[in-house]
Amino acid sequence: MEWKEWSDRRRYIILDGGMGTMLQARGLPLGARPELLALENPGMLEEIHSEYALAGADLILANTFGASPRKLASTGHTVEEIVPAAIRAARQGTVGTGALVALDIGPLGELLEPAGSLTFEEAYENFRQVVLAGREADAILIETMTDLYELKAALLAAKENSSLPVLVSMSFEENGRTFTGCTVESFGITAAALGADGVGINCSLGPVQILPFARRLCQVLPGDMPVFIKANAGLPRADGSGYYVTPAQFRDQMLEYRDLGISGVGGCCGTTPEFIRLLKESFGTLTPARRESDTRSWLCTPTKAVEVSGVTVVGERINPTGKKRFQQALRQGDMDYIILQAVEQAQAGAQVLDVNVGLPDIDEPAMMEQVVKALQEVTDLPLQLDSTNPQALERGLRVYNGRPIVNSINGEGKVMEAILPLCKKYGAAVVGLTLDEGGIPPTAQGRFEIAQRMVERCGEYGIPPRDIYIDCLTLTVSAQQSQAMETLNALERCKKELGVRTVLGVSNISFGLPDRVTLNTAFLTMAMDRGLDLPIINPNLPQMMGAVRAFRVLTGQDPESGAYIAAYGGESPVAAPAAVSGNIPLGEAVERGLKKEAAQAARQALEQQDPMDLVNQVLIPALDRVGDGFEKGTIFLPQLLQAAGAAQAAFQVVRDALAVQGGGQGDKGKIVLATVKGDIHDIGKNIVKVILENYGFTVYDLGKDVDPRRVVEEVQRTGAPLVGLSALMTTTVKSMEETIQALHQAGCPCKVMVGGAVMTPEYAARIGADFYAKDAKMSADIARNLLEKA
Amino acid sequence: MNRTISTQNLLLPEKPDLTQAARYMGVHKMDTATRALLEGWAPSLWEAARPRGAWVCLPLEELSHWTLGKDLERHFQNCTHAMLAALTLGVEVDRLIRRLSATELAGALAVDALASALVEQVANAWEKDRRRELEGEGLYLTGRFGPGYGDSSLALQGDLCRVLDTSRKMGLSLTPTLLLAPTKSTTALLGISNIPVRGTLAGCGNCKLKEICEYRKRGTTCGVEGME
Repeated sequence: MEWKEWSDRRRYIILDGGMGTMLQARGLPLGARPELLALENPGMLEEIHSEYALAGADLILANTFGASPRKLASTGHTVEEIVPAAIRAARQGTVGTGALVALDIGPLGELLEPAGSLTFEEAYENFRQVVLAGREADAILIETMTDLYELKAALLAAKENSSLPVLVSMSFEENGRTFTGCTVESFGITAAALGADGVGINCSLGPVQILPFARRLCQVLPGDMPVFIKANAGLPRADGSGYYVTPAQFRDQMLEYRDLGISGVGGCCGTTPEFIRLLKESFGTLTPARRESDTRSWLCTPTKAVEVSGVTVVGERINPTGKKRFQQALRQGDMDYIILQAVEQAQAGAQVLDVNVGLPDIDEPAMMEQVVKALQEVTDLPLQLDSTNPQALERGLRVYNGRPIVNSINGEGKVMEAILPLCKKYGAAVVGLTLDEGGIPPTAQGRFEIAQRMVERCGEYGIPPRDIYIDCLTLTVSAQQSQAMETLNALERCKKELGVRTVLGVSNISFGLPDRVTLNTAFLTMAMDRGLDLPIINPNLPQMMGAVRAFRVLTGQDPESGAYIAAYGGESPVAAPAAVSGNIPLGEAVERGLKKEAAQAARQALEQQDPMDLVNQVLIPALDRVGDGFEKGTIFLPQLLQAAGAAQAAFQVVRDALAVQGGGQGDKGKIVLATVKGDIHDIGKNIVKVILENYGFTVYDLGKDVDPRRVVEEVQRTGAPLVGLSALMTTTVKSMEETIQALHQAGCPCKVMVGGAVMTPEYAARIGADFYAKDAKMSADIARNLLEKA
Repeated sequence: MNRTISTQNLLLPEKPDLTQAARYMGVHKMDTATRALLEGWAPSLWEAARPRGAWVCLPLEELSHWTLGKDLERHFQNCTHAMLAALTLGVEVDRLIRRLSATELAGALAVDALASALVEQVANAWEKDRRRELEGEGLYLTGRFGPGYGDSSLALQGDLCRVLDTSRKMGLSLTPTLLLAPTKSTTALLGISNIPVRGTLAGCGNCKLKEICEYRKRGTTCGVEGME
């Protein structure tokens, strides 16, 4: 075949069938490494490839599925030996048939962070090596992926290190998700956005089970994107004795795909050359059906695809502007505080989260990457990366898992030149602000013209209008009263005439006026009526979300008012009194583990008491009482944690108060915490963190699987006098020792406390730790002894 | 005996094992607060968990080049075949625990403990099914022996995952430090024999954890308390 036949979609391209199936039939034992055959028995590979090519396959996959540096590590062979040899074998097998050869790339066999310990960057590097070693192939096929993040690493590695066409394929389970929870839609949207040359589904299921997923996949793709299916020979038999479907049944089941508009067919596990021969016989005479392009605008994370249609709420709270507490969290690298903002907004009804981490005195690109990674661990909402710094945007885009929004470009030529290539490369939707070198035009006409210019420039980069979100800019009504209507007029014109979506930061309208929420709500309602798609608001304000939900009911976007009733149906008509529980004193609320009550009590107490007095005279004594009970065995870890949770809630209130005062944070000393390299169990460390914070210490939590160097750097950066290290397994205690050594070698004057399931006082001493902490309570005692007395 | 790998989604048990979960949280005598906490979080876990297993039977001689260790060899006494198995609750459970760690620490601890107990529950049910199947063929199955137990090496886990192709068949993989990811997973080796066998517990003598074992401190063993 000619490669252009793939993208032309004028005929069906036939792909090959199962390789493992053929190898096992030739006696390859279970658990053996099939990749080594490229060196040990290339003749066997050649023979199999030849059988497939002769059966009619146009595209043959070289036997490189598991030929990654990590998987080959223990074999004594390198990627550079195996991959070219495997491609040569495939080439030999196809001689005289006209079939092309693809470099086959499978998963690395390790889970990426956060579920596993492999970083995105390490995954990329592994794939990069395979891609470079496979440059003699005609195409690259990345397949059997179950993690969208790993797929992105592989696809980027392929696009950045080769000019070959890149096809990508994932494996779904019967529930329509991969093992990691990725949906069919998220896969299609992300792969197309990242510039794949073909998208497919393979393995795991048979043609019958994959059919509905293939239909869903086709529905979210551009009409000219080639789609291919390599199904298994049905489901495996329950007794493990092979597969159910015969070659003829397989062919008949695959013919059901005719109307979908796919253009590539082949087989996976359990299929043989006979399956492929029958596919060729039937599909060889058919023409792929035409497919309509999806005209919707999509955003996604692996587990959730969000269509920007109707009103789509963007939460604005992850932003340090004017928020002392948030600024403090950024400077401390306190990801939990930022995560909390995300979770709260999601619960309040946000569908997308704006992420702005710009502060003059922090490394914004590094922070953007860190925050994006932290947020996508816990939220399934798509993110809107908000920065004017192209480096920060690129760092965030690169590690983002799915399809995000970039916020923003404007009408300035050099801004568009810097940012649009990033949006295209990483497949992001983009916010366009209607301003340029000349500032914000005072008229709707002026803003419309800038929008028009941005749409044209986006078009040059291949970004269609539906993925451009125009912001006609909210100005402060107290300063420029006539501007409110200009904004709305411009918004309506852009929406109607340019085919774009519209976005608006709403709250700015009321700056300088009393009762801002009333104005904001009214302006939001007016804007939605004019066609606003993406209001950027504080979803935690009930009035704002109320206006959105009501608007959806009144415009028929909320069928049968279902979402409205779900949100408000359970509420009693009389406003529930919140004060009943407010009477519980703070100490008692903490001891009883009552979060809301503790926060409420702290708020009340702060009206009369200094924040630090409250901490020292009420909070800490309450925690001590709980801690004593824990030590004596009268209360257990669950209650200790519930008390800690309540104290944490109270502490948030205290910190907010301290941040407003502009003073310190009630800092009783700095402590760096980490779960050591190689260890991914971090619940123990998380418990210690909360308890230490409750006692007023500032904790720099480096997370899990932390490299010794990271710990040294953080200790040097913060000057923390105490480091806490956790390791759960005997195999990872070694990393703990290495971390302690690294700290000593770097000359850090800090003390080290260690803990974890397998740790003992003797062992702690042997690896050079200064303290052994049996549990969270003891770690707090050590910290207090060391830091408060110092 | 069939030697192809079986892969299946497994059923969730009807009820959480509250006693075992409490034990994992360090609570050895259930109290009402702990019970309420666990009962409150169990539904979230049940929603997130998607148990799946892969297993295969191999003649013991195919394991001849593996480093089994004395305890496992004793466990396989009188057996002709080994059954290798891997079970996981799936990645969503880890995700739930991670999310809760940032927002609801007590909930995170509860789900973590419930999930560890759930792995045991699922494994027990799985084992019972396999035993019944084999008994239908006149064969007997020992109990489960986990890599790392007794004097066996955790490295066995790598061999086992490769044979079962767990990364592809169930989304289960190993970290370079030989930890299972997703974390709420387990692997085991069982012996198959044509005479009744039960397998042998390793005992504490060779156990790597004997110095720090919580069971031993309480005057009992994991064989008595953990595997009943």
